[in-house]
Amino acid sequence: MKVLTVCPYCGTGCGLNVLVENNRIVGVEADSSHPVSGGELCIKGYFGYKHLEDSRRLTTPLIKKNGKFVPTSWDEALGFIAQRLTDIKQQSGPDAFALFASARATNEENYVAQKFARAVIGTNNIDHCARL
Amino acid sequence: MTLGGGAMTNTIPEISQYSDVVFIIGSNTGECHPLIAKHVIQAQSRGAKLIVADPRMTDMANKADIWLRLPVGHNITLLNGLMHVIIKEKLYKAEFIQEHADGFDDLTRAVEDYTPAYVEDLTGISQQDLIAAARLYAGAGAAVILYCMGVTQFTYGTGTVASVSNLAVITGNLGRPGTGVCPLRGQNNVQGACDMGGLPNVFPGYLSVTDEKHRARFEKAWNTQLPPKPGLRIPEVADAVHQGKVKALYVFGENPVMSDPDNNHFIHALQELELLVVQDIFLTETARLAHVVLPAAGWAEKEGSFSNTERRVQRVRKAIEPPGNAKTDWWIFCALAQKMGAKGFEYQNTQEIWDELRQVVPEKWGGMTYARLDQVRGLNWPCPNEEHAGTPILYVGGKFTTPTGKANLKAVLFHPTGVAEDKIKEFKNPIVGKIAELPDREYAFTLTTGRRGYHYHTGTMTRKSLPLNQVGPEQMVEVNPQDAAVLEIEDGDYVKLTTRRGNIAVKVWVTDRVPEKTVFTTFHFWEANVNELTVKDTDPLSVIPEYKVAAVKIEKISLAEAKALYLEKAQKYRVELEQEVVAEMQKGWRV
Amino acid sequence: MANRFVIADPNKCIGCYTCMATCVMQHQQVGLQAYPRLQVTHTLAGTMPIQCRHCEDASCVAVCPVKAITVKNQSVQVNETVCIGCKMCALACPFGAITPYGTLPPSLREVGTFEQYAYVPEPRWPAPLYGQSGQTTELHPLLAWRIGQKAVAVKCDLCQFDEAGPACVRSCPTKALRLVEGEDIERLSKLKRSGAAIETASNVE
Repeated sequence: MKVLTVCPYCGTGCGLNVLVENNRIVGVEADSSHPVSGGELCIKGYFGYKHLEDSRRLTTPLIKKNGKFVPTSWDEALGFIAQRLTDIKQQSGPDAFALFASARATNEENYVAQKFARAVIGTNNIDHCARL
Repeated sequence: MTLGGGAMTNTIPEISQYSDVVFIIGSNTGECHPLIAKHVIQAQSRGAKLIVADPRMTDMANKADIWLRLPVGHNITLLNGLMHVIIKEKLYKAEFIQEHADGFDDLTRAVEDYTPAYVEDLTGISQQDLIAAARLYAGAGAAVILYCMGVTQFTYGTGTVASVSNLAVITGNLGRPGTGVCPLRGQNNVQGACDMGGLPNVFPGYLSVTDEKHRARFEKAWNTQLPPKPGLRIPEVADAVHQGKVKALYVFGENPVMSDPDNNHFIHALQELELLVVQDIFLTETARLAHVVLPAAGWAEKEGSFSNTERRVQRVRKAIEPPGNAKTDWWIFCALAQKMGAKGFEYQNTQEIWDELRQVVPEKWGGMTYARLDQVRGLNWPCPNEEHAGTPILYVGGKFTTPTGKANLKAVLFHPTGVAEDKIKEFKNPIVGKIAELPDREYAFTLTTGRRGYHYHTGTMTRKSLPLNQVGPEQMVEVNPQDAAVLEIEDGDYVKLTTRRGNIAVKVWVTDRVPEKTVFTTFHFWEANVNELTVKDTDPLSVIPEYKVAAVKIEKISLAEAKALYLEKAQKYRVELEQEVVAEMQKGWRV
Repeated sequence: MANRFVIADPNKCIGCYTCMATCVMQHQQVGLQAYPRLQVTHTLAGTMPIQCRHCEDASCVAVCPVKAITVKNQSVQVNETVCIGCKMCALACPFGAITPYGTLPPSLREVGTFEQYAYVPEPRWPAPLYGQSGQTTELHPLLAWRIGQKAVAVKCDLCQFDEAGPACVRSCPTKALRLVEGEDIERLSKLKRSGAAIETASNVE
């Protein structure tokens, strides 16, 4: 299976096809009709996908208890965060919360993230690492 | 700021098609944006000329018709020098300036002192080269400027960016194919994160949070009250934590412990937080300090869109399932919002999110439906309706998006040790620059930082790829052969780099890529992370830290000493935690 | 028959390292040493990857004591299983195109010691081989070794196992690399001779 998408590294936004077999990426092919990359890719475009199947990927939410990370469920992790955020907002106001958004995440994810900070918490303390 | 927007004014393919002169300043395009460099090479083979201004012998500098090897931090000196020559020799476009720009008189006075002789004195760039570069750039039918972090990462970065725009405006190099001012974005979706309002002062579409009209638009769309006060920027957050103002921090898809300057300061701040949530695909150095870690889906594991440096919005698609219980970032935020009782987060897929954005900010993205984006290789915003073809070139016909519709030429002054007060007073709101930390007797070298082609940022992703790691297994510091001879160090030796903020052990690469008295290294490797050394002084307007200059001391050390320092860093960044967590996860623990 | 080799055009090479990583992957996939067989080299005169020139009278072939290096199919090939890791070829090569490299056998590869997965990476010599801590600092890097690790000579093999030819040539984004073979050199020389003749003729008074 071939999936047409965009390289996740620099801001050039080269087009590429991801080659998939049995839910595994087996390779990457340049998109020959892309106006910028025109059938070529660089080192990170071709080989940068390898981290996705690394054994160190996080596969479950973790809560730190006594200095050790303990695997937990989504329900428990989100419940814990929701409770703590509600408490902190009540005690110290919405501006006691800050969110670092991500220049690696999609437009849609960044939109939801800033909407969360602004509409749910009520703060403009949201920024991302555009400066590096 | 000068022109009205913060994005690349033109598109990349125009470089190879239309540009007669390409001026690259502060960008290692060959290594960091290879497919943009390709367009520059194609332009060259068509006969276009290349000017490169860089302290380092980058691969593009090597190919330049004129290479201006300025010392680190002297961008403004150089740019003012170029404009001095252009104005003196009347190479500017008087008509264009008269119709489309304000402040030319101020600018003329500001660059008056920057004669070729003065510039040579300060930077060592020969008068001949400076004059030749000025004539070449100003004389081109279409000239484009490409710049990157070598321009912005100074305490006066805003000034340099303004200078770059000044240069383009006075020569009329805007609003036509093959011209423009092009900041090359370093990350796949920096443009998108900015566009989507991932900034403390603006909503999606760069609509100011302080403007009641804009706020009302989003309050109506989101059905809630919104805060009118601009928020904190990243470098300000650490101080706010120390002051007890910020108590909870939520980080997703970033690794600020590695990427923020003078990171010891930042780590202490994180440790004081009451709640730190990190959402990422690996247990990053930042995640290890968190109270809660949430597993995210990676690239190729989710649907959505990215906006590249040309404002080209392109669809990214899901190819594989995320591992274990990892979830997409948008799903996590929606689930959390719902847990907190919020409405308006009932999205079923990314298309619904995108369509909401299109409705709220139609002037920029209204016409970009998923269906259309699926048909083409991206559309450049603004694209207000479905009949609109997108906007590859901004400011066509010199129509700028400033309040007056004209470009604001800004007076920018610079001297490494500071500009005299009298001089500053001569101008209305000039931007003034000086270097935060100059070398002295103890810290005798200038340290500058950046990236390498084979790794990416904090190495979280690229260091887990065998081919990339085999090409770049280890941190290296570039040292000029002259300096190496004086210090009695050889290629492959280890040195300790020390600044007033910290020290790291690094292997030496003796190379002409750096000028004398200057060393270069990166932030890809936790065991030798240059951001333990960098200065946290920031630009007052953009709050970009001065990553590019610091004073540093170099000492030769043995392999055993280097190893000891690595072990020290391993403790500092708690690398054993990742090992523990991986073991825990591999027990097959599933919810 | 003339030798065949891959060479780069420094006017096109942008120093992006794509060729090196491609080389690693290409060889790893067929069970050969996962190490780049060409090295991007930056000099004031220009940037380009340097790799084996597959010399007709190759000094590496001459010095190899076990005949692990042979001339085959107009190229110089190393049999990685025959190589005893003496490193004479690396010392003899005038281009620096041979690197001794070896990975630890699985029996010796504990979690956390193999460099790719090392939780605390060890400082290393310029050559990818390194010894027990401190011990090798006195040794020439080419002769440094690590207990249990067998090093073999690693050099460009023109991807002889791949019908499509050298992978680096295909992956180069600026098409700076090319395979020189057959009549290429004769054709190029003819072109240069024409150039020289035109130049001379047009300058004759």
